[in-house]
Amino acid sequence: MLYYADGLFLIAQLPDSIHDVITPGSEQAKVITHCRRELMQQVWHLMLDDEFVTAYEHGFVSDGIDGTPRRFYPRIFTYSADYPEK
Amino acid sequence: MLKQKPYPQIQTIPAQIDVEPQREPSPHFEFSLSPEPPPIQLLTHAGRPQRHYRLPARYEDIPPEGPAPLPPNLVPPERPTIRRVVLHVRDALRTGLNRFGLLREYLYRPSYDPDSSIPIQDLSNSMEPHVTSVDQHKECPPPPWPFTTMSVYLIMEWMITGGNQKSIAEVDRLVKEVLSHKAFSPGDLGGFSARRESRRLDAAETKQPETPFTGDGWIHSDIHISVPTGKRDPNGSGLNFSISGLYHRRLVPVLKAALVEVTAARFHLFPFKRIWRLPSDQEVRCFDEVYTSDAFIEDNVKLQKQQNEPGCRLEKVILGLMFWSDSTHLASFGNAKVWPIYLYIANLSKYIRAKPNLAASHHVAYIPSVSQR
Repeated sequence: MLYYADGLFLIAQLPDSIHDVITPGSEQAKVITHCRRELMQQVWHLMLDDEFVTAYEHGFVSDGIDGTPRRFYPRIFTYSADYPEK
Repeated sequence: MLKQKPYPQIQTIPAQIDVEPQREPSPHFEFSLSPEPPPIQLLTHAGRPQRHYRLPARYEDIPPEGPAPLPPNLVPPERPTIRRVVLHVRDALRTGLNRFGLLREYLYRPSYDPDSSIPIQDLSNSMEPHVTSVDQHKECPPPPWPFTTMSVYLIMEWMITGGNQKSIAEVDRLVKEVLSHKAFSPGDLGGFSARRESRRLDAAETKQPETPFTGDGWIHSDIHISVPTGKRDPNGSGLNFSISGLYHRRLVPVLKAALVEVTAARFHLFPFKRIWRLPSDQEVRCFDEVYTSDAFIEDNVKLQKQQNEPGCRLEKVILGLMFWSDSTHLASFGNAKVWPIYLYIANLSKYIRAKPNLAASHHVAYIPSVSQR
């Protein structure tokens, strides 16, 4: 279902019921693309929660490596994913 | 009748095999500074001088070698601190060269070096026994679950375990492990039926939830998006639409858990430049890991310059995250699939990170795909 060439089938698919709220018309495809992008953004909004943002700015302490406590600052270096809206 | 001619008796004479001590071919990577002692001339059985065999160069298999160790820390760590002076001490250092001419250059002296002792099996691609997934453990409630009393539990345990056909040894086990158990009291067994208790056990096993999201901090969330309607709406931006079924974990607990796992001992907490020195003394920068990249080094410099947290004098370390996401089919047939987001820790060497049986990746979120019209 993922890599279909026609580009209609997507990674993050919206439920069928989304078609009930989209007004039919020529802009339907664009609206669905927008909704998929919104879904992706909301997923990341949930993942990068306040707890993570606080840890990003102020770090968190862990002594799991060798028993010495250190302050760890998470940093995102790579993000590889498909375009969910394509 | 033919008179059988007796076969001549063949005497087997054991062939004389002279085992001469063979010279071990000296490994080519051994550099000895002192001149080798002249080899002892060995003679073959026929009295000719023995030939020296050596493997062609293409069969040379140089064993892998870890990086050269860090030089010892000669500067005492205690320094007089002057008030009101922000001093960014850079304690840059270079390691020696290893056999392949590779060295490490740190901007700051690392307090932890995971490469100091890498076992040889982690440097080579030798076959490793497959380790079954570690997080497959299923937690059951403590005994007497699923039975009502400890006595029933003991009887049923005895029935299920041990031999299939109960023998003398099994009866011994019944007396020792069940009847003499301090939790056993015959009064609990009023109206006991082995068949009913078996059914109770079967029912309890199927009742155990089977989803991978039970426990381990999985959260189920709904997502709300707003769908543009195409109509002018003075009080909002489109129609609110809710999508349910996102499973995710909070990121920070996942990171904290990653730091206490076995692989955490291999985390490179401090970035460095890997440099290859040619025989002509020319130096070439090698990019092989995230923690040898410029991005990591620059972020680390920035972090070291960042103001410390109030009252915190701990070392500041970057924990690199690598997110990866792709939809995954669950079966060869049918449309069952999930859309997971994975997380890898960039401080871990790619050679460890990419090994599937080390379970270095962390699932962060599963986004269910819903069928398309």
